Amino acid sequence: MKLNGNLEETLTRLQHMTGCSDDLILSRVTLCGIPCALLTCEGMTSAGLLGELIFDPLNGLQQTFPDGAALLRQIYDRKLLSADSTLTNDAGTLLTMLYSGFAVLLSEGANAALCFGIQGYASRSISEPSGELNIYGARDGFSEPVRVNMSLIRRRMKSPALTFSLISAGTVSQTDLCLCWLRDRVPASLIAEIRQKLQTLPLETVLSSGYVRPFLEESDMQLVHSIGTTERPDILCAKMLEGRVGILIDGTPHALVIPQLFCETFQTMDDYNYPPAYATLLRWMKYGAALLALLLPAAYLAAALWHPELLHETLLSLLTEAEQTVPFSLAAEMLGILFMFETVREAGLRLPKAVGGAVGMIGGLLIGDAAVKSGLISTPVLTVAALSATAGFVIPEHHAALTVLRPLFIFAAAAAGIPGIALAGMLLLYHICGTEVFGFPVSAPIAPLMPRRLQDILARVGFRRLSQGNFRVSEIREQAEE
Amino acid sequence: MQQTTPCTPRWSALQTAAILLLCRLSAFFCCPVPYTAAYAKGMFAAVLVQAAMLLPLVKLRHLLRIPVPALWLFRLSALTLAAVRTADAFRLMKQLRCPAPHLLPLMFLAVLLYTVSRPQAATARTAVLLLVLASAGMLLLPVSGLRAAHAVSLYLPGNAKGAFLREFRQSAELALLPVLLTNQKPKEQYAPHALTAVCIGRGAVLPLLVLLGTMQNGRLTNWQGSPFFLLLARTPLSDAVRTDGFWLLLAVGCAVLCVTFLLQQAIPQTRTPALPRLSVLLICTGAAACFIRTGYRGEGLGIAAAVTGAGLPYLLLAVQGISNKRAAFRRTE
Repeated sequence: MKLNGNLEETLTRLQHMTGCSDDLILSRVTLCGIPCALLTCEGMTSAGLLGELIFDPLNGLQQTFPDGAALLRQIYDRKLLSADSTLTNDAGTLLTMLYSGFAVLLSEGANAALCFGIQGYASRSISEPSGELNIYGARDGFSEPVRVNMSLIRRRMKSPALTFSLISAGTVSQTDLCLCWLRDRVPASLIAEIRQKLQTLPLETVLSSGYVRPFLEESDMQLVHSIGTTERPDILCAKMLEGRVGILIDGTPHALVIPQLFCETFQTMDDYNYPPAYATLLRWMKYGAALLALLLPAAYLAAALWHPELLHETLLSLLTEAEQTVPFSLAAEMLGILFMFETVREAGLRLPKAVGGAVGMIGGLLIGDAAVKSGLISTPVLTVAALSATAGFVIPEHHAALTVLRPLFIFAAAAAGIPGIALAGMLLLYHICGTEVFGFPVSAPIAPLMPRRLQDILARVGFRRLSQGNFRVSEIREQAEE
Repeated sequence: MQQTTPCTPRWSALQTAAILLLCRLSAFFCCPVPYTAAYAKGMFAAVLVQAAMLLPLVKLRHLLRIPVPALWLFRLSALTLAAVRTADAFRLMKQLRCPAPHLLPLMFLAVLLYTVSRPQAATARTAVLLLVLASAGMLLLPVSGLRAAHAVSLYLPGNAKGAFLREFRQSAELALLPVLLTNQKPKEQYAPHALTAVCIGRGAVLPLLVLLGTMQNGRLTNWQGSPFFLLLARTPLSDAVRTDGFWLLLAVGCAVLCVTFLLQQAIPQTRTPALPRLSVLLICTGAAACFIRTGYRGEGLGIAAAVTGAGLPYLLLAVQGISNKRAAFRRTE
């Protein structure tokens, strides 16, 4: 709906469109003899800025103007009231800006409204990200307002090549999404593809990164995410330097990173602060932990149930002795413990911190001590399940996938031993190798093999060698498309 | 004659080599024949002959246009080979006394149904990953294998001629090489690199493994199944766990990859791939069941496929040359 010059009619229409919402604040004022109205939204603007930047200069206006349009034009052209000010003649845009924290000045006789950016809504201050702690890196993490997050990135990258592009998503929520990338490292075609997908999101609202991610990934059934998330601006900057694209979402402290390779989920920011030898050791420990977390319960079942010849006599007799008094089958025992573990974890996660810790401890004691003493479960099975669960914590990125895959591997091992595990493993390998996002295979740089890029996968080489390579993620796409 | 070039995705040299090597490794795992030095010699000789037959293909691949009937011939041979390999995999599992003999084939087929439905690029990438894993595992072989090796075992009697023929039978996937070469990436060096890697892998690495296995012959008493699994009996660092399990994992993985690759080559590229996929899988399973019941190991078939794979391109080129000359002659008339 276009605005006309009639102030009263415009205000009536706006009130009708907003349903006379109580958070709409209307201040009527006469400026230079012309009736005007200033609209703001409760709690979205800064009262201090409103007084300093809008009220004081406008009250000081002494000139005379033929009509409201000339008044608004004069203010817009000659007065620097706000760094972010714009003229609009569309009522829909006007309301979007109003609800985004703009102050809107309407004037009699003007068929446009002047919007001033004086946002001042309350938000959480910048704090250390709770999900991605590190020892040596920066302590600031993303916050909820998208503009604050943009500034966190800009503070780390003053290059003019860094580009932000705001897109509105969600037919009802009109949430701000911000694409950020380095122009000289990301092909324009990739940006166009991502922008096109974001602009056509079939969503009414975007409340978190999880709403957007499935629409950018190829399939809803992906166990391995091809789009990563991060709460850390330093990580996003490092990813953008490699030619990746970030997406900031207003209202969530998680940024999306396109693409995410499978190997990268084992890397942390601290790896690059430690000495290379230690970081390499840690990286291999993580690979080992991933294998343990996924395969240990299944391998134990397969060896104990079907392939006892793989175990040494002493080890085998130990296991047999422990299992003799347990009333359940091995598979049921293992699945039961893992189920209990997930239950306790989930309970501790959703409760307040103080209570959550206690639940974890009680659960641990219950499972660990009481269940073994009562003879419901055996010590080796408990040890294996606990080892597997603890190893899973080393790679929190894959927790969801591990929780789904562990029972699959356990069933396969219980049904068919090692060949069963091999078959389940092939399913997983094919799943990972067949996953792509915007033409980037997530299994790179191992498959397709890029030997020069393995220096940051098999080992963490020193910065002198790392900086020689100047890795760009577009190389992977080029190799895959060649 | 309508001529075509398959529209399957282009693969890199390493991906092509990885697929062919893993197919050979799959057959190698499934082979129950005891290792001897003569076996290694026969293998080496067979690879030399095959290389001599196939290397000119690299030079001629730009001229090669595969007609539709020949493409169907390749598809048919891929399907038959898939059935042979499926039967081999089931036999291996039986020989190794794998648990759940009735459930395992069903699980195998369920996995195949998924893997065949994935894009061909996924097969190529999985092959590279598996090859990396296999290579890493093989690095351990000399460490542990040489502990129990006896050089005197190399002098055990063996049949080099039989090994030569067996190598041909087990390398029947090479029949698909003409199709794969036309799928090579447009970089000139990719095709020769792929074939060189395959020749080195099959001509140098596998015979060396056989020699190493031969030297373990003292431990082959009362052993059923592939002697390959005895190469690594205990880990070098601990006696508590044997690592045969790793090779069993790899053997099943190679079998799945090999059959998937062959079935994907057998499936025509249509707009509605679900039906051909399912029917090809069912045909493969049925044929494998027949092969197992009749005890057929695809001896003649393998050799015929390998020779056809190497010979058919030359025949096609010759026919193409003659028809081109005829057309030129008609134009001048």
